[in-house]
Amino acid sequence: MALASSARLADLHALPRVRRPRRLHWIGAVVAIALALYLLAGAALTPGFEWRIVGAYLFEPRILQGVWISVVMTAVTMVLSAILGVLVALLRMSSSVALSALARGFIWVFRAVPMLVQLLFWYNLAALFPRLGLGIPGLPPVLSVDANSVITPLTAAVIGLTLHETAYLAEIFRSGFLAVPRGQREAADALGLTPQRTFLRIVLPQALRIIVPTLGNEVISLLKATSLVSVIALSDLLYTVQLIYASNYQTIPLLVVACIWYMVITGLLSLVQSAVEKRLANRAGRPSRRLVLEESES
Amino acid sequence: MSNASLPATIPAVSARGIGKSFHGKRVLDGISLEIEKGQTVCIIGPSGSGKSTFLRCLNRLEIPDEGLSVIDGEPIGYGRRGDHLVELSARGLARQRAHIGMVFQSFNLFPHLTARQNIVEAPRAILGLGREESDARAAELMQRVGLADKLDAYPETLSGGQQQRVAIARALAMQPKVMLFDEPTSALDPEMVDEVLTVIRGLASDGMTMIVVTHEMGFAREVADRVVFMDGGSVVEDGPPREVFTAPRHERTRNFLEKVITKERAAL
Repeated sequence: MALASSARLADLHALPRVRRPRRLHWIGAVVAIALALYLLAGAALTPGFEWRIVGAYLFEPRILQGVWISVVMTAVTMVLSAILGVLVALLRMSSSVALSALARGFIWVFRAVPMLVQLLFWYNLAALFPRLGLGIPGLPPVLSVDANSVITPLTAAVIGLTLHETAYLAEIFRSGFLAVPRGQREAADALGLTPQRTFLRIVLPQALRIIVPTLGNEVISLLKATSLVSVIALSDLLYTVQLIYASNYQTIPLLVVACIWYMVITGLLSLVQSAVEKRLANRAGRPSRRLVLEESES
Repeated sequence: MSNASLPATIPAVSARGIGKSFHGKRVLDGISLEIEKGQTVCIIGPSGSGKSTFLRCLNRLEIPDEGLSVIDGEPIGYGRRGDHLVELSARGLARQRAHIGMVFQSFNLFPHLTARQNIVEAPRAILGLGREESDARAAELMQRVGLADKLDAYPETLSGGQQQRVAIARALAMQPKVMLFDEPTSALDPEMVDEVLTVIRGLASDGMTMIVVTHEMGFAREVADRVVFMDGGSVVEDGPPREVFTAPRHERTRNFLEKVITKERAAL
């Protein structure tokens, strides 16, 4: 017995308890604030940044127009790719070997060809096919249009970005579908739900919940990938900035303007992502971690 | 469906020659079982004896390699065309399954839907019930399983026993001809086993046709009209509970029961 008496035990219970000093927190805070001040001061005092010029161009109509185009392109591409991505993921998981191979091939090609190369390729499509049409090779086409009139910088950009993004999203969706426990599908099957209903009401909502963080990441990457379209002379944010500094030589301040806008939009997207995650979590029905583990063991 | 046109003597479930192998290992060795309407049959046996696989073959969650399961006169997974049975599409199979209720060991409630939404999903989608009608049915069923106050609860917030009772209500909402229970209490904490067994007992006395795969020997003895003992992928013994439990004809049944009952006694 370590305790000599019950009186000593009572003493122990009666002693006041003091919180352990969190020294590392304090040191960390001091270092972080010092670093932030140093960087801010550095940025403010470096003449090359030309903050007055940054301020003058930040809300310039041409810049705002560029921001708008970048945002719209991101949104349109994301919506199209999400729809196509689900379809490709479903094909990839199909029990038909031929369909699955088709989807695999699609994913392979469009993940393999670099974004930049693809954009140039689509933009120059007219060089390959001067006329675009529907028909069977060797017979006169049913419907035919001039490729140059259809493939504008905007359509080339949306086609290129969408195909690229679809290939990535297909794999993300597939991982989400696979993460839904098998028992969920079995329960739906046993109830007699049709495959379509099971997918739309049971599998898809649970898969989305699992992949929201990854999707958020993907939207942000896509926003920045849109800056690549500057190579095909589409006046997105980056291309607009390049046009302006090509005439006034204020390269650095204008790049800073572009960075600020990309950071603002990314910040807003992150907020949206947190809100969506929170909303899904509040509806309580997170697929329980325990269940997922049980399923993967069996 | 075609219930009325069938003679009253046709069995509710008629499985013949059900065989199944996994990776070359024979799990079910040509099992045949007929079950009369209103009967409660308990299937017992050691783990790995093929009980669950057999149950899952009945509603084709598992596709048997051989044999056919006919429930309420319908060949499951097939449609009759002249003198042939032709395999059904997923949609056709879904239509047949709508009349066969199933309850799983791990409940498998849909975690993103409330108890009510879990229950009304299939009646709305398949039976075409309206919102009011299906909600009323959900409320009535939740009352029946003793969870009237949990209609709007998400599964995550319910105990295992409560989740399993919701799962039973969900299956009943389709007004099934037959209920299949796959070890409904095996994943439960001991103190919750009884609340689930009570619900199943109630169904038995209401005359529901049921097949219950279970490890609860006391329950089987009390509720079953018939007990089937399976081992190594075949039916070893099949008879009224009194016979199977007190005077088993086969050595293997005797060994199994001795082991299980000694364990149950030790637990008391």
